Amino acid sequence: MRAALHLLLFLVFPPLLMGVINRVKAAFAGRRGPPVLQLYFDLWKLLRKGAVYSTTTTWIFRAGPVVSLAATLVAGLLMPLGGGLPAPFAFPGDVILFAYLLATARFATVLAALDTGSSFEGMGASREVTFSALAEPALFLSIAALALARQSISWTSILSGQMAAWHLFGPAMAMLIGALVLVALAENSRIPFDDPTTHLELTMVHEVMILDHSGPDLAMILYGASLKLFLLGAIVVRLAFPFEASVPGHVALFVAGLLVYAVVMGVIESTFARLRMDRIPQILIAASVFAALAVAVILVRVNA
Amino acid sequence: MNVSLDLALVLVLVLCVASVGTSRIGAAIRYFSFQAAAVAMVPLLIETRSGEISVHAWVLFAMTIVLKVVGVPYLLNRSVREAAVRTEVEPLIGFGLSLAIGGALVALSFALARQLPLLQKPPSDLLIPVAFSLLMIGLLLIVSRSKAVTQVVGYLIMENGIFLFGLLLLETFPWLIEMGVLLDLFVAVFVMGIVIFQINREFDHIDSHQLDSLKD
Amino acid sequence: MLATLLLLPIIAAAVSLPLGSDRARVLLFRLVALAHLALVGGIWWRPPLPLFGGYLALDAPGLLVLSLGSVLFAGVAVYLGGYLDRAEQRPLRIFVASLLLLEGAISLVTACQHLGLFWVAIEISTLSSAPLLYFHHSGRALEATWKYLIVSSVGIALALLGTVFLAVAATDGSGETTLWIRDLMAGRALSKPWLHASFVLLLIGYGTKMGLAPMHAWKPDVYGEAPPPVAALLAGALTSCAFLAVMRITGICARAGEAPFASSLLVLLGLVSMGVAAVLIVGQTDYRRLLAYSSVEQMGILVFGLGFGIAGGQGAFLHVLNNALNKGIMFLTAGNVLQLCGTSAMASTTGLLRRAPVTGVLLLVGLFAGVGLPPFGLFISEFTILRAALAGGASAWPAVLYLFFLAVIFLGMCAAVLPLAQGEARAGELPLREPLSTTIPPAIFAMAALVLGVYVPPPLARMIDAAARQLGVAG
Repeated sequence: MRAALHLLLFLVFPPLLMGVINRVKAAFAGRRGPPVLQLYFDLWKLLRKGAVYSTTTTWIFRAGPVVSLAATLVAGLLMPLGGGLPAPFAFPGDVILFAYLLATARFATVLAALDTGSSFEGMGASREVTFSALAEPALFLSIAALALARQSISWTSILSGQMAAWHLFGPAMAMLIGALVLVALAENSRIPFDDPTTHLELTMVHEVMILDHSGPDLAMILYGASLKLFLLGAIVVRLAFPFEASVPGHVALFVAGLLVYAVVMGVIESTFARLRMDRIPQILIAASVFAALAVAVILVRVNA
Repeated sequence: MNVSLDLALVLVLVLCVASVGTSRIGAAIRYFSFQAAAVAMVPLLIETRSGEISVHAWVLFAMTIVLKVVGVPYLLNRSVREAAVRTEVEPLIGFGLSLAIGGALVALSFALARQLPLLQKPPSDLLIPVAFSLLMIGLLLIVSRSKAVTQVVGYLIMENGIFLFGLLLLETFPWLIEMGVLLDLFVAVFVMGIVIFQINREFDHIDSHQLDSLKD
Repeated sequence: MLATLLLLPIIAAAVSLPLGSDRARVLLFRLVALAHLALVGGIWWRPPLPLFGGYLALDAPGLLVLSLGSVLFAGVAVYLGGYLDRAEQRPLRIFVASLLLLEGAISLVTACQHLGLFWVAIEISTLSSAPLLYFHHSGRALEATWKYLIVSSVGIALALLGTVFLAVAATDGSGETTLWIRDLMAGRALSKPWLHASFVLLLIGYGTKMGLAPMHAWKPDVYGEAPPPVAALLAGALTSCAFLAVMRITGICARAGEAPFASSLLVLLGLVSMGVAAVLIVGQTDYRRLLAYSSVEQMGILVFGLGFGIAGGQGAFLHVLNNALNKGIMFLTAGNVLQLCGTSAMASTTGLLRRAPVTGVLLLVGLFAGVGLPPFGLFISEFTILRAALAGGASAWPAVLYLFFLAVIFLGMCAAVLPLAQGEARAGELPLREPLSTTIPPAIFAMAALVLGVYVPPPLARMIDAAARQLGVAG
């Protein structure tokens, strides 16, 4: 029952987050904006279309979106949703598998982009890899900090009982949320790291990589992106709302938390300017440093 | 555990790392001023744990606020305005790298703090690591930045670290000495401010790395 | 008595500010410096009572440093009138006030019996000396002032940290601690790791103020750009104050049973300083920078001496007196050379013996005294330290290196300075006028250096002995 609910929430909810973010951005810009369900419509539309493949591409190009989506879906099976829905699969070490599944998804996208042979896509791939290589330490250090705080390396137990962690390591948890929000922004190619709405290839990072995908392939990529946003959001929301309640209460709390998360993302995207390319590494290093500080603070307490 | 004390200390640490990462001198001064405010709170927070807040702690708090939160940033901002320099253009070590070094120094500080055993349990187990971090990052700023004002900020951050160490001895240190130390610090920054002003008038810049006519 | 001594320069500084003419200010400085010297003389006659519940009191090491400071100030005060008459005309208001404040700060340093207060006093001395460096208002002077401020400030911040660490080390089970020198010297139990960290920090911190290598970077710039009489005060008196600090913490370490730890660091730092000075003295082209490196060397000798217990300490205290006198001779003479020739670059100043005989002779005397030739005092003190190193050291290597560096520096200094005094005056250069007020003070210093080399008066010997005993185990 819980597993079914978990799957349902995980598979259906994510595109809604994108809709909320876009509405918030539109509101800031004084527009009405697309409907909240726009991404669902887009996905439906794309799935009914055929795909166009360039003659220079190989099977790698076709495998890219599939592998990427599959990896993200598996990663979702390791992530508990709020306090009420434990992950369908939980075992010691799944935090590391989770991180590498996300990396695999990115790797597949990058390979597909390189496979087109286009210089723009190559440039985008290079940037994407550079920035995610810098975001990786922040993510891993955050995971390490959480694992230390809860003395476990499985998401389900790490993300349960967060109240106790807040009591012991409050300031460190605040820093972790900051670092993870930065990671989420960077990993999902949002402002201030990247602009998902840009139309100039030279300034694109993630968008330029998927220019050549069409039809169902593009649908898979867009859906996969929303899943990733959802998954990193699930960690942040659980850290920020560590309260305990009954199962329906938990789910409601979690969904509400995710909506807040989407609104915050929208606000960040509307109020910050996009960073200059050479400033991005600096911010990501800062996120890593904050995560490292959190590790240090937690270490002092754990061994004391 | 005292959550508000921890929060103040971690805030100090975060602001300290932030001042390493920023390229705007004005922001660095602002971070320092916030940091000094957080540092000023620490003696009060330490004493609330044991109940009464002594007059000593209140005086220390007031002096720190007046001198470090208001006085010193005012002086520094004035020198920045006089010199019309806003950003640290060419640091010796890039911002990304110095952030990374700063993180490493913080880690080192936490390791170092374990090496020094204390007879008395400190008010918070974060106090000594944070104090060490401020010292090291202050030194990092002094050696890696080229603008005179940023170097002074580094010196002040270092001084804040020493202040935190001093709080280990909050109850036993004579007042007079503490006041002397704070006042000396203020005068030091005042004198440095004057010198920065003179450097600016003499050379039209406050880039201390261009002060290199004296060497063997 | 002590109160008068400490307050006199500070009140005079306040009085000097509203005075109408610079001539009156210089006169006031002269009077105060001479009165200060007279008061210090009185203290030798009759020891003063402690002040403020013992925060301020003069013990043997304090009195020695106070005396040499006072003598230097008196000499510089006499010298200053003649020097300023011929220097670039500048308003003297801040300059004289800072000089007086510096004298007050130095007196305060020597009298502090509490390490926290001691730190405050040292910081005041740093800050009051900064305006003195900037007297000429040139870009180079400014650069030197900035370097002095930032390097000394960092050094002194580390010293403050070391002071705090020392207090932590002295914390007992009930949470009580102390920074009173007498408590720390009385065999209080000190936590070893904190004491070690504290000693290292204090040595680096106050060592920066002394100008020990590798923290000496500010020294050549500052001594090279400051007005020579100011450089004489810095090199003679201010570094001696920092020496006093290093000596006090060495004593505390020794009493806590950590003498070997302290010794090894002191000897190492001393040898490094001498080595760096030896390398940089050879081939130096500017007379005043040469003197700065010579000062680095002397500071190295001082801490080297401190590394060998009571016997080494006796040599070090004798040496600190001799060094102050010697720096007085050399920098005041350097001031004369600077004013006579308009530069301190050695290539363009030759034949001084012919052109300005008195200055030339003083230059040679300063050189011979400075490199430690008998019969000057530095020979005796350097020899005392050498004997202590041979007797007390576990290995002969430190003593061998010490002698080697002394020999290199001897050659380097002679090769650099002798051509200044000797050599032909260039055609067309007339003999230069030398006013008495600028030649008498260095001459008196030279005389004193000579006397100390031949005969140490018994009261002074007793005082040096008492001071050096603070470096040994209590009892």
